[in-house]
Amino acid sequence: MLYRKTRGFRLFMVFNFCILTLVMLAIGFPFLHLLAVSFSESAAILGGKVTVYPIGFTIDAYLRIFDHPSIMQGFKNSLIQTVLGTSISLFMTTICAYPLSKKFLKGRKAFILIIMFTMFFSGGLIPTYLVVKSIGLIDTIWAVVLPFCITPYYLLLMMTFFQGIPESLEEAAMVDGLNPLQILFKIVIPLSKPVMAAITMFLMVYYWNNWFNSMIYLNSSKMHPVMMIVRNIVAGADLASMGSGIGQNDINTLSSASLKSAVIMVTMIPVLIVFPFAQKHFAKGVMLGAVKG
Amino acid sequence: MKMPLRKTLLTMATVLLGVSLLGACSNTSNDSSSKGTDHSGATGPLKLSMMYSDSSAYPFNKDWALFKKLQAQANVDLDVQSVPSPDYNNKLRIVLSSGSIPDLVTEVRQDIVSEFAQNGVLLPLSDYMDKLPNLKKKIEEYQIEDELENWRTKDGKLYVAPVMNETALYNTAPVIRMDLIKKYGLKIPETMDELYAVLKTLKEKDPASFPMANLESADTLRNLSGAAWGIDPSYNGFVYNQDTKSYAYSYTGDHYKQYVSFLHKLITEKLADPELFTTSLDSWKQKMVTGKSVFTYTWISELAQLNADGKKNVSPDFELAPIAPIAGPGGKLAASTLRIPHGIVIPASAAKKPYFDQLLAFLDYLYSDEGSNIVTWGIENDSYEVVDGKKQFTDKITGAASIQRALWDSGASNQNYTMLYTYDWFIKVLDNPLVSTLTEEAIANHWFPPITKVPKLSPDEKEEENMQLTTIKDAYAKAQDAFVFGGMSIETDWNNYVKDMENRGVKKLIDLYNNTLK
Amino acid sequence: MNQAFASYLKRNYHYYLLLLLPMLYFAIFRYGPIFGNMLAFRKYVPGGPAYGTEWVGLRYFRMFLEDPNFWVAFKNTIILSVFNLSITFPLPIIFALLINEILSSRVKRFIQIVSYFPNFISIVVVVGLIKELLSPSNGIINHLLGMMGIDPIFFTNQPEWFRTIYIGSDIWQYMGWNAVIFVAALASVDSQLYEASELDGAGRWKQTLHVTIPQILPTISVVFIISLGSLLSLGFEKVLLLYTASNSSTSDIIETFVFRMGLENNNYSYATAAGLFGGIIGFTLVSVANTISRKISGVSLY
Repeated sequence: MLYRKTRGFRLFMVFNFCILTLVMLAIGFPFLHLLAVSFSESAAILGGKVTVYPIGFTIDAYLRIFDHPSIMQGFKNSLIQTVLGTSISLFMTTICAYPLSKKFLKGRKAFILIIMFTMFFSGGLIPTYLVVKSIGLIDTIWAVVLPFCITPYYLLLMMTFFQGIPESLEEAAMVDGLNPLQILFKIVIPLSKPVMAAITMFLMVYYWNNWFNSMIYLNSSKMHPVMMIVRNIVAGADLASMGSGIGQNDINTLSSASLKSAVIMVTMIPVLIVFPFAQKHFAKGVMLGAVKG
Repeated sequence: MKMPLRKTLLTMATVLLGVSLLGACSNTSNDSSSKGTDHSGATGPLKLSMMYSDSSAYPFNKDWALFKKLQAQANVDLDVQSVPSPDYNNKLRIVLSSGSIPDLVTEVRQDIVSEFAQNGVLLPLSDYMDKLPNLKKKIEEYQIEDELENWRTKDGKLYVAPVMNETALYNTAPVIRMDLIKKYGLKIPETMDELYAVLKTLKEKDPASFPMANLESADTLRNLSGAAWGIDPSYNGFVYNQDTKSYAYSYTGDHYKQYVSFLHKLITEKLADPELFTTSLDSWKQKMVTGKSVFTYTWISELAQLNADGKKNVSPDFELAPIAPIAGPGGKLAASTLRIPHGIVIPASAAKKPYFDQLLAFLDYLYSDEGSNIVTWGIENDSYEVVDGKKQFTDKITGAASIQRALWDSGASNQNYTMLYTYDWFIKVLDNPLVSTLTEEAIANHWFPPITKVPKLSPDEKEEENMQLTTIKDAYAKAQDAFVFGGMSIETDWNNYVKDMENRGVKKLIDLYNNTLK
Repeated sequence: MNQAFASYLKRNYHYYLLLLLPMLYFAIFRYGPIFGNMLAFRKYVPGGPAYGTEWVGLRYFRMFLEDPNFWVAFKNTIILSVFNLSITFPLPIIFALLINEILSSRVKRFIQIVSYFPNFISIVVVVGLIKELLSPSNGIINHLLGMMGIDPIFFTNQPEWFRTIYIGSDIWQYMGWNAVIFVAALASVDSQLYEASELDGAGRWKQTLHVTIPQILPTISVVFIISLGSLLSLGFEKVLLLYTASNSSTSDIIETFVFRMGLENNNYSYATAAGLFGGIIGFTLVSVANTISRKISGVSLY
């Protein structure tokens, strides 16, 4: 590639390098700080001595988290919710986005307006709860994965990407005798890997992080995801130590800062495991030509 | 190529089948969940569902020994639905609004009881007092009727089984660095003027310091020191005056003016931390244990850890110690302590259940000597023993890292189902001789302020109150910040502030509250 | 006519078949609860009927529309949103373009993954870090200012700093994550287009202008239109945590205002009315933006 040899390009690369390094530092420092805090002893944290490496190394905060009676069950539940939720969402979003990407489709505008309307007018928490309850989903995993399975935002994004696929490809397939369903699964989806990967990632993160729906719709503790435990630790650490008159002196042996930091690190592990895989798919470009030929 | 018709129909049928199956399988689960739990007869233990506020300090564990013991003794099997404590009230409101309420709902605060009680959601326990003999007995024994009155609705009915403390405790206090007081030969402050002088001296000794710090918010400081200033305890700033038999607003009064003037003086002279109203727990701890601040109001139970961390960071002499209340215009008063922090409610629908009597019997069991012993002291000769007629913990408990921790890990001292906190138990758990001596002093010298009278409002009045109250609270908080940090001048802007507050609804609310007294 | 429609249906019924399940979903889970919005016009009593007890007309709308504090919050919301959108919207695009220029795919991936990290730190912790960093008594920033002889600034309590803090931390937390969709869009660009333009002798800058940008424009437009629609819904939790009585003159936004007035007090009717009001504005904004976008760039949602 010729342009890579120009002076302007080289100058740009230096500039680019500087900017990205700056961004990495801005993100890396607070992150390292949290990591260091999670491994430091309370006295050092409160003394303001911890910067980017641990002082008075201890893994107490991590022990405390893994000491939780239902942490493993929580991880398992989170995994189930994430896998099931992401699959259903991805499927539903795809089969909804594909027809709507066809501009010739009669009634398309009405469908899109119906969907967009729900972005701005939701029923509120209690009416939604009553609907979920009346279908009998309370305290089942479906209450967490069904009511929120299509996000209009992702739907519209996917629709836009589908529209970017050249008509000629689909027409050619049509001539070959494929019906729209076959075209969707055999041609459109394989060509949309980057957006599929990106939306899968969004969905996974949504389901992994969402404790709120589980808190509202699941009564049985056996079904609670790990993020509900996390939520309790992060938001509850401050509350618990200032109890309603009971001396709760124990919690303070652990700095709430180190506990919170450790929780962040623990919940990020799955993210770190999964992302590089998803990443592969949208770091690589798509070769439309390859399909055409 | 088009799909043959048969195939299309098949696809549609599959989709529909899928949907109906989904409905069907969820229907079955609906049946079992709406019943809540199976309530078997006399043979097995009675199954009861319980909504439970899960504290991160002692995450719920169904295998806790004392929790099991409690169920075995009462012959019940509790199906605990735990909810993270920070979100408990959120879920509580949805559950109470949606109609499918567990048999027992724990940790319900006064405002929620008063909100839902009048709409027929909750069971009026006062109608069934004959079935709750232990509760009845303890209410009389604890002489707690004054406070309990605030929980009753207008018609005098009680919709809650209250958690009760035998006595108020001196568990929060002004706290000062005793090592510095000794080092500089200062006198322990007894009045606000003396406090000012002490802070000033300490600032001179360490110019980089902000001698006074405060935990969390403006409300914390007011709650902990307000009684001495004569502005608290109050119902959102409204105080019932025994003499005039009417309500008045205390945050526009003269005592409140003195309070903000005092804080303003501390801020301008850098005697108080600029983050006085916005310090997080960790940042406040940091200021205390690095010696940046040397005076604060806090819970006495916090001190052990602060002192340990302070010794590591500052000097081996580091000693934060609680002192007697510092007297202000309101007198020498401690912070007000609620003897009834929350309680258990039962849904009104429970009255029609076949196991209703057993449900009440279990609730009452929590107030019995046997039941309350299990969830506070534990098991005799295992976790506690009786010496000279007095209970004390065995080495098994006292030998643990902390008594509180040991109790939590066995399922005792649990805020959800411990209904009675006796004084002797509390003193043993807090394990701090200062609390007991100070509490005894407090009772002898009448340091505990009187109880606020909460106005009893109808649902319509409550809605009216809500809207006014938010505006008032907003304006109050903004003005307080402005007076303390210098955004407004106390000399010139005070009268405008008073007038403004009255126009914003203080007058209307006073009328509303006075109306309830008729 | 009828025949034409029959043949249209015959050709395209697959598309409607696909829409069946999603539409069922919208009917049940999105439109099922929508009657809840009735509460905006009805009085609701906690524990009473879920759809209220009596009609009260525009009572709740009047309550906030006549409240001067609401309009302060409204103004704050608009200002903060417009600033926020105009700064945080282009940055992820630029970031994605810069990443795209990195030649080594390993470095590319590493940078991306690191840039996601802040997205996963809960807001409570982020605000905790901000307060720690900016504390007037023991924060690093004020410590550095002190060394330069500047008096400590109480950043988190001063109204003039609130927007900077809010937007700055938003960039820090979400720039990398929001770039994901643009990176995906960049990856979807047909590489043949680049080869063709290279043959035409276009430099990298020209390629970016004439190939890359036009190719990802539809994505940019869609994201922009939707962002406009959510103009009134800012990061509520963060604002709530950064809110203090002192900085309220800039930090009180519609959502925090409604939270205090409606939800904290359990006045669901009030909160619903305010939500409906926000919805109408959002829907109008999206419709207008969509029309403008269709006229200018030919890209539109519907």
